[in-house]
Amino acid sequence: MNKIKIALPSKGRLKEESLKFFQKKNLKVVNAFGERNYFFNIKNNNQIEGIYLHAKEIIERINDGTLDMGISGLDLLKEFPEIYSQNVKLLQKLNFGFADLVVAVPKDWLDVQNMADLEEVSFEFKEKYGRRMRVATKYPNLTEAFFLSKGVSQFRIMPSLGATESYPFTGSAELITDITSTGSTLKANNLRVITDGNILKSSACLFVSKKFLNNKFLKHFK
Amino acid sequence: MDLPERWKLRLIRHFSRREYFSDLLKRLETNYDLDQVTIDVDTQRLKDLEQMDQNKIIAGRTVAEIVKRFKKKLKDPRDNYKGKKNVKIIKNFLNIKIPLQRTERVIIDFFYKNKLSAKDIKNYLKKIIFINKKIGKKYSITFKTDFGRNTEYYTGLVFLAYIKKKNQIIELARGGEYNNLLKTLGYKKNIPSLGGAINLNQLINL
Repeated sequence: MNKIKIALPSKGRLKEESLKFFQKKNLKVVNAFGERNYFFNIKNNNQIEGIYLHAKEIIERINDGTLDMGISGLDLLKEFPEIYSQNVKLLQKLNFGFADLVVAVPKDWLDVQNMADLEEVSFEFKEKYGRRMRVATKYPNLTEAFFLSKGVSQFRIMPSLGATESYPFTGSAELITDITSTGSTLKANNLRVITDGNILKSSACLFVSKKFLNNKFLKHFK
Repeated sequence: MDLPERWKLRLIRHFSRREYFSDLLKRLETNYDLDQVTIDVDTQRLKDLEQMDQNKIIAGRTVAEIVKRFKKKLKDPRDNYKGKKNVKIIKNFLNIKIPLQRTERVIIDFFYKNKLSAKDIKNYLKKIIFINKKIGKKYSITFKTDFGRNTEYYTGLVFLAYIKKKNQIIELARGGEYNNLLKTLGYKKNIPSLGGAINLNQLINL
């Protein structure tokens, strides 16, 4: 019989919380091959083949069928165009990994309180400087769809891989969208969240492959 | 129309996006985009900003620019009644659908009745009168304020020529004025333009 392939996030708080969650469901993760090895087993269950992966990749692998299930963030699923996540089913929202994807501008931009302001400023900016405002983000798809839905069309996405909060102050972008749980990193970097700039409320989720939906193993999570 | 300048520009910019435009009208009715609590906090911080070097750039914008726009925003009229009244005028205007021959009279009456200055539409009316004079008798022409809103680059008159055949509308040509298009496409200045496309496939089959 084919083993059930499960992936958990490979690092950080998401990894720790995922391990705790599995333990609560009587699925104790055992790192049989050593602490730094990326494969794991479940205690007293030889049906499972576990692997630690980057949270983003977990969704990709469930979609392409090489994984049966895994834990990742809702934000990451939503960022994928539907065609790349059509085989992924959200089984359960979990009670950890809470974070919001928000629009943030420099705190000294007093005149920009909401998306309507941003819409207006972006047109003025284009008119004055002859180029579009740049939005640094790790979430280009969600950002673009949200901005357009709020009437902000004069912008350009500046893809970022990390430390996005610094972009407005290095001349690489004018504003950002980023994931935040307490808002403290944004504040520490002199940014403020726009009042109606909440793009997505995210949390950790249990994702399964559509083909795996009727598997008995999922009873553990009911 | 007694409307803050920023609202006027906003409505013009989004005229072609029907859904968002009606969203804007809803917002105008309720004055939703001014949050008094945030404004109070920011008004205190305004002093700090005023003391800064006004040419300092904060994320691509000068301090002077930010201060100027913030003050302008504060001066916006906050009267909900006016917002509601203006929205009603806009909605009524967008319901106008009349024969071209009557357009001048109806529009002037509309502006008079709503106490709006007709100065800005003089040029527009001139074009309507001209078209009416040239082809008004030969063809049946309907004037519709809500027409041609789906294409963003049109700036003035938009037209559609069609015939009816067995109760079906067959489009023969479409076009309009697009005075700001060249600059959008990267040219250094705008050139007033008017153009359209003829549907040759339909024309041949007539």
